[in-house]
Amino acid sequence: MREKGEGVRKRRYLSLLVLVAALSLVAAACGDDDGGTGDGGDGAVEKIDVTVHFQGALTGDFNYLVVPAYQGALLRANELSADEGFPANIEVVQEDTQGDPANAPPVVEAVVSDPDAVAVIGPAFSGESEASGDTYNDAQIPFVSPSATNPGLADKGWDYWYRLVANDTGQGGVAAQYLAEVVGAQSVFVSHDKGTYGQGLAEIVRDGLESAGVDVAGYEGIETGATDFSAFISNVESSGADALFFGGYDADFGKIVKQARDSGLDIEMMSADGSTSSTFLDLAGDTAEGTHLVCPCNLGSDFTSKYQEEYGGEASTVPIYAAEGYDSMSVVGEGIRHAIEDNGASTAEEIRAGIKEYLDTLTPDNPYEGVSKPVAFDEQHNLSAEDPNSLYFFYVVEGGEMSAQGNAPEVLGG
Amino acid sequence: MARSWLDERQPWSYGILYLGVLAVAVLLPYLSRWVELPSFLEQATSASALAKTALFVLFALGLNVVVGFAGLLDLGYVAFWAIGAYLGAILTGAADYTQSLRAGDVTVADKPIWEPWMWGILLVAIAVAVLAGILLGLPVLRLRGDYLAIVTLGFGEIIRITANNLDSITLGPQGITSIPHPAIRAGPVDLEWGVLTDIKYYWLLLLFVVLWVIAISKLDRSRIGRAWVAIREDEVAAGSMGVPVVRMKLAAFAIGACTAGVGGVVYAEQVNFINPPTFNVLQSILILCMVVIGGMGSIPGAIVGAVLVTLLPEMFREFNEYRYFVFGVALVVVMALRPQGLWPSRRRTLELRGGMVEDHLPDVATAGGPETG
Amino acid sequence: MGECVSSVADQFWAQTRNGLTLGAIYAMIALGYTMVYGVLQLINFAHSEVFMVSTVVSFYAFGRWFDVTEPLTGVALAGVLIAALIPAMLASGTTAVLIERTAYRPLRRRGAPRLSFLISAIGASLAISYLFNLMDGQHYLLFIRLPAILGAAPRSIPDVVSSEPLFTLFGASWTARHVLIVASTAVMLIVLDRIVRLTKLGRGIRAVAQDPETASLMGVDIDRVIVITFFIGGVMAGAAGLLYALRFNVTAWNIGFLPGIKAFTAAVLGGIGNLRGAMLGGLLLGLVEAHGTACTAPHWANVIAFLVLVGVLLIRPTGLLGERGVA
Repeated sequence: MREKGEGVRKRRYLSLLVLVAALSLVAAACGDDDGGTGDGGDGAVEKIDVTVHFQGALTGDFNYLVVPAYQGALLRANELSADEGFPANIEVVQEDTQGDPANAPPVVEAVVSDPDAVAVIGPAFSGESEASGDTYNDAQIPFVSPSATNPGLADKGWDYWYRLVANDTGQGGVAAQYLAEVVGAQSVFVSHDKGTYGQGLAEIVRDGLESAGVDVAGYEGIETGATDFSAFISNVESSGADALFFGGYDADFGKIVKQARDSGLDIEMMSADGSTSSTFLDLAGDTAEGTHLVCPCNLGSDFTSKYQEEYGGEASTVPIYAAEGYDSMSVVGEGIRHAIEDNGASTAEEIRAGIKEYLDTLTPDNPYEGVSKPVAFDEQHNLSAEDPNSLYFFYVVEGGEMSAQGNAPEVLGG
Repeated sequence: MARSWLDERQPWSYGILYLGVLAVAVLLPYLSRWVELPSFLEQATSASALAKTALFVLFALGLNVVVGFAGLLDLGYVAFWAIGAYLGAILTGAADYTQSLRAGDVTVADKPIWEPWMWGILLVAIAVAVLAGILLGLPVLRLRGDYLAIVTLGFGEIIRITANNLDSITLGPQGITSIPHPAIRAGPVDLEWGVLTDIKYYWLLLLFVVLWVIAISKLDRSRIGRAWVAIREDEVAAGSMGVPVVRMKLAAFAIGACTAGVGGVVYAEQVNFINPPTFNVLQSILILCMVVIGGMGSIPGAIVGAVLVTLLPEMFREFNEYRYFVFGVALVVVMALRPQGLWPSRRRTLELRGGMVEDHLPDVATAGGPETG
Repeated sequence: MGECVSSVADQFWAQTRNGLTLGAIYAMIALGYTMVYGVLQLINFAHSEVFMVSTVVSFYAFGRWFDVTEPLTGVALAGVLIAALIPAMLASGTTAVLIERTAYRPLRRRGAPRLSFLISAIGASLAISYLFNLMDGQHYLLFIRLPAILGAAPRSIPDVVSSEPLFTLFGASWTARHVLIVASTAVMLIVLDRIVRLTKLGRGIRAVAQDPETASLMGVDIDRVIVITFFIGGVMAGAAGLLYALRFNVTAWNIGFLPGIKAFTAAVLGGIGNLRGAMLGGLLLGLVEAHGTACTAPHWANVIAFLVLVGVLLIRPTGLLGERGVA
C-alpha cells in the first residue's frame, strides 16, 4: 500500500537537494579556502610553506583571555614570514573552540589532517587541552600553550606538549605568600566561582595560607554570572577577614569588588589571571583602585607597547598573554628554523620533529630570551626557570590601570 | 512482494533505498580522500564532525519522541546526556583514576584500560536513564505545557549543578579525564577505538542511530505510537477512551532518556574528558531546535534537523558565532511559516497547521475580531 | 539548624530590606508574565529579554546621554530618572509588542497548538538575547554591520543614586536606592491596579481574560486589547529594568535570564493571571530568597527560588491567590 503519491516524496527530496545546493553556493560565494600562502619570497632563502594552528576560545565569553595571545602569535608569525632570512612562510590558522572541550574533536581532526601543519599554539584552556592532548601527542605534533595553567596537564605524559605559562600550583602559592607578606593580611576569606579553574586555584591559595599560618576566615563558592552578591558580601563582612581572595573570572570579580566597596567593605581584594581584563576594570570602575592581581602573564614588558602599536583599535587594553602568545610563536619559529637549517627538514613531519628537538633543548641554563620571560622547560615540559617564582607577576590597580609591581622574587623578596 | 524488515507495508524498493543511504553514510568519511572537496565540505565530512553529527542525530531522535510524538516540551534533555556521560566515566574507573592522579598517588601508566565488560555500561546507562526519565516524568505529568517546560529546564540545571557539586563522585568542576576508549578483542577480531578522530566512533554512533531509527519507527506504528497521537490531540478524551495516558507519557520520557544516555556513554569514551559546563541549558535548546526545524514527530525530520544544526557551524566557521541567533530566529520563523518543519510527518502537518488539536490557545483573534489571515 | 534560625534572626531586618527591594523588582517583571497569561493563557518566555532591553537603555541613558559621573540628588536626580525612564519604558514596551506581532500573532491567527507558542517564545528569547550579544560592532546581519550597542561582555552603569545610608530602620540601614526602588514600585503597582480596576481599558483586559468570545461579542477589540496588554507588561518590565540598573550597576546580553525565571516563579506563586497575585508573589519570593541566604551559602539562592516554583506547581498550582481573573 503506497502511503502518499510519488509526487510528494519527490518534492521532499527535491527541496532538500535545493537547500543543500543553495547552501553550497552561498558557501562558495562567501567562503574562502585556506589554501597555501604565497610562494617563497624574492629573497635569499627558499621558503617552505607551513601552517601553525591556533586553538582556543577566540569567540565566546572568555575570549578576552585568548584573543591577545592569538594576536601576539600572529604578529610574530608575520614578522618571521617577512624576514628574508627565515626559511619558512608561516600561515596561522584560527581554530575556535570557544574553550569548550566538546568542540575540540573537529578542530583536532582539522589540524591532524592538515599536511602542512607543523605545530599548534594552544589549546588555550585546560579543559580542551585534556580533550585534545592525546591525539596531538599521538600524531607527534608539538602543541605549545600560552595560557593553560591547570597543574594536572603536566601529569598526562605528553611528550609533545609544552606550556609557556607557569601553572596554578605556583600561582596559588605565591598569591598566598603575597597576601601574608605584602598585604599583611591576618585573616583571609577565600572564594571561588565553583569552576574548573577558579575552584582549583582557590584550594591552592587556601592551603598556602594555612601553611603560612594565616587564618582562613572562610571558604565559599559563589554563583557565577549572578548580579547580586550582597549575601556573599555580608558573609565576608561578618567573617571578620581583612582580605578577600577570589578565584574566578573578570565579570564576577568586577561586580564583587564594586558591590563590596559600595556597601562599605574596605578590605584588601585580590584575584588572579582570570580577572586580569578590561571588563574587570570597567565593572569595578573607581572601586578597582588598589585591587591586587597575580598572573603568570607579563604585562609589564616592552612588548605591550609594540602590541598596542600594531593592533591599534583592535588592541585589548589589558592584553593578557599577548606576550606569551608572541613568545610561543617565537620558539616554534626557532624550532622551524632549527629543523630546516640544521636538520635539512623539508616535510611537515620532519619539521615537527625538529621543533620538538629544539624545544627540548631549552632549559633554565639555556633559555630562549622571550619578550615575556626567558623560555625554558622542565622534564614535564612545564615552563621552568632557575627561580620558578620568577614566572609570576603581581599587579595593583592604580589610576584605572594595571600597574606592574614586578615578579614574585622581586615583590616577595625571596 | 518481498518484505522489507523495516516495515511490512513498504515495498522492497524502500529497503534498497535505506541500505543505499546507509552505505553512503558509512563511506562518507572517505569521500575527501577520493574526491577533491572544497574545504568546507572537507571539514563537514571529517570523521569527528560526522561523529558529532551522528551523536546529535541520536539526541534529536530521542527528544523527537518526547516533543514530537508525545507532545511534551522537555527543556532539560541535556540531563540524560550528562547521566550517560558520567556513568561512562565513573564505571570505567576513570573517575577514581583521575582523583588519584590529581592527588599524586598514581601515574599515567596506571590509566584505566578497556575491559570487555565495559560494553555493559551501555546497558547500565539505558537502565539508569530510563529510571531518571521516569523519575522526572512522574511529578511533571499533570503539568501543562508551559509549566512542564520550565520544570524540565530546572531538572536539567539541577543535574548540571549536582555534577558540579558532588565532588566525591563526579569530581566537580575539574571534571573526569582519561576515560578509556572502547575496544573489541575477541578471537581474530582486534578492533580498537583510538583517539577521538577515529572513524570507528562515527560508525559506532551510526550503528546506534540505525538501531534507534528502526526501533522508534516500529514504536510509531504500534499501539504506543497511536496512543501518543491520541494524547497529543486530546488528552482528556484519550484518557476516557482507555488510553493509559500516564504510562504512555512516562514511556516517552523513558525512551527519550535512554537514547541520550547511550549517546552520552559513547561521547565520554570518545572525547575522553567530561566536565559539567558542557551539559547546559543551551545544549538542550539546541537539540530542541534540531527537532523543530527538522520536523517534530518525524524521524527523517529529526535526522535532517540534527545534520543541519550540527554541520552548518562546522562547515562555515564564521557562522559559528551567529549560531544561536540564527537558530532562535529559525524557531520563530519555522513555527510561523512551516511548523511541520523541513521534513514533516504528514500527521503533524495537519495538527500544527491548526484545527485538529484541542490543546491550542483559544482562537482569541478570530472570536469576532478581524478576519483571519 | 539552630545556627540557621539564629542567622536569620540576626539579619532579619537587613534581609527584609533586601527582600523587599529584590521582590519589588521581581513583582514588576512578574506583571508582564501574568498579564499576558491572563489574556492569552500563554507564558511569554521572551519577557526576560524585554527586561534586558530596558537595562541596556538605562546603560546608555546614565552612562552616555546624561554622562552621570557621580550620584545625583534632588531635582537633578528626579530629572535624570524621569528622562531615562521614558525611553526605557518605551523600548521595553515596543519590544514586547514586536514580540507579540512576530512570534505570537501569526500563530494565533492559525489556531496553532500551545506547543507552537512555547517553541516560538523560546526562539524569540534566544534570538533577541544573542542579537545583543552580537551587536559589538564586529558582526554582520545580512551584510549590514551591527552597531556596537552591547556585545558579549557585561557593561557597568554609573552610580546614579547614592548608596549612602539615609536612615536606619530596626537596625538595618536603608539607602536612597532601597527607598527609591520600594517607593516607586509601590506607586507604579498601585497605579496599574487602579487602571485595571477602574478604566474602560482595564475592564476590557479583564473581560478578555475571563471570556474572550463574549468580550468580543460585547464589542471589545480583542487584538487591540492584546497589544495593549503586552505593551503595559513591557512598560512595567521597563521600569523594573531601570531600577535594576540603578541597584546593580550592570547590564549584559544575558542579564534577563535569571530575573526572568524568578519573576515567572513569582507570577506562578501568586497565581498566574492574577495581577495582585504577581505583586504578592514577587514580594514573597524576594523575601524568601533574601532570608534564605542568611541560612545557606549564597549560591543556593537560585536553587531556593526554583524549589519554590516546583513546590508551588506541585502542591498548589493555582497559586496563592488563585488563577485567572486578572483582578
